[in-house]
Amino acid sequence: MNFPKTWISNSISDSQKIAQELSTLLMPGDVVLLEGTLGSGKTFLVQEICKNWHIEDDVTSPTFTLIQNYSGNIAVNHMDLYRIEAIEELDQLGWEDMVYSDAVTFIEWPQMVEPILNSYYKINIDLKDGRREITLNKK
Amino acid sequence: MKILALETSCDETSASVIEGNNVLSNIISSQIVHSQFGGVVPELASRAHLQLVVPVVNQALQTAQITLSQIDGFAVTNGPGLVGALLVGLNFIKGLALSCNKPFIGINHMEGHIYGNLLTQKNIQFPVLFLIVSGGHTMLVVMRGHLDYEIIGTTRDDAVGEAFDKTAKILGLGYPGGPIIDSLAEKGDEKFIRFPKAFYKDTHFDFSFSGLKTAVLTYKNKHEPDFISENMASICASFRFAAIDVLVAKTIRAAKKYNAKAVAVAGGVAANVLVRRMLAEQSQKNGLDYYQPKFEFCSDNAAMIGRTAQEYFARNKASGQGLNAFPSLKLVSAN
Repeated sequence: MNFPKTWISNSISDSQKIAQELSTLLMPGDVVLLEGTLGSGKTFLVQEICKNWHIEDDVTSPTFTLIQNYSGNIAVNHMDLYRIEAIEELDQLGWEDMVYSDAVTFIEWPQMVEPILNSYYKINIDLKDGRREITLNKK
Repeated sequence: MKILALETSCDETSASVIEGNNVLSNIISSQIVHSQFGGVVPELASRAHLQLVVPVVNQALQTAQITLSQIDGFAVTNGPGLVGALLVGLNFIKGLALSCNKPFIGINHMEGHIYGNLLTQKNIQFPVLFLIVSGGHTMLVVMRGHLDYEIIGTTRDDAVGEAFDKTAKILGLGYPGGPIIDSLAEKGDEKFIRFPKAFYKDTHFDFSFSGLKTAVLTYKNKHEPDFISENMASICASFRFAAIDVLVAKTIRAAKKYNAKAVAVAGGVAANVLVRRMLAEQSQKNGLDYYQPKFEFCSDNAAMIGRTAQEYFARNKASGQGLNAFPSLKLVSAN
């Protein structure tokens, strides 16, 4: 796959197809940053990718809980740094152990940690006139 | 039996001394003024459990006017929550129990919310249909007796409290969004816009609030900023009505289906004005008792954990030193 890779989604089923592509691309140990405004569908994308991996746990928004862990064909960490105000707060959460594990780690609202990560995928979701432009980058 | 309880599952560090339904102290870190820590903690940051646990526990004992040696048992939340945060509380309580040679028990946080409601009820008629609503959880539970639970519905995406906070952010109203939207909505027209109510007519008891949040975003993007700010109260009222109406309708429908004698609400969103008003009205209309918690026991606190522990200790149940913390601990009945 060449990066950046861009998809246009006009519907839920479009987004589901994109999620399916992503679920075959991602491997254990990968870190995936998700950027997009409130309501752009970050959690939805994670839910759909996890469905493809036969994750049995409920995949819900981690905004309040900050970190959720799921198991299935692949172990998944699902983080949301929306409520984190200082990087020191993160240190108390043990997040680094998860990022450098064999699980796939999704991080919503990742701006705070992006500068300290070495390699990761980054998905941007842009809401434009009712459709979504989904861009995948790799670093 | 005097119990010292500790709750550190998410943002708050809280400690409480409780005896029966008598809350002798209920200290919550974010509510204590800075001066009480004598400058030891520069900022009362969220989730600074390690720095806060000793001063908060000391404050709970002082307020209750008792010493550690007068405590008969200990209680602590061991899930669901953040594993790092849970471990601080769990290991602290394990240490205290060991050194005082008294029993301790791990409590499920959701179960705690249920008993945060029940601790102020005089006469409980089972089965009770419980609506548990907070920033992190949205859940319907049938409670057929003490420590007997069946989860019949949960959210499939965002919790309802999260929908309030994020909608407030979308509308530029600040944090925490729940109380802000709630007070603005009291002055607005809830029929101003018809926002979607997900799963309103479905027979299952699951919820979804992600689409409602997106609907507010779409609405905001379609209108001029001046129009939005002029009609802010009515937009908030319409949003709040869409969110709460689906909660209340499903709660009442579930109460009938499961032959409940009462409905009850618990968790941080149980402080919401409209959820209280509508549940009270609808319960009365349908011949159901209605239990609502005092405001001080709605958001995360340790008194609710201590009250739950009493039910276990009364049945001679306690945890062993091998107990672990579980980030996604499920709510299950005691057997």
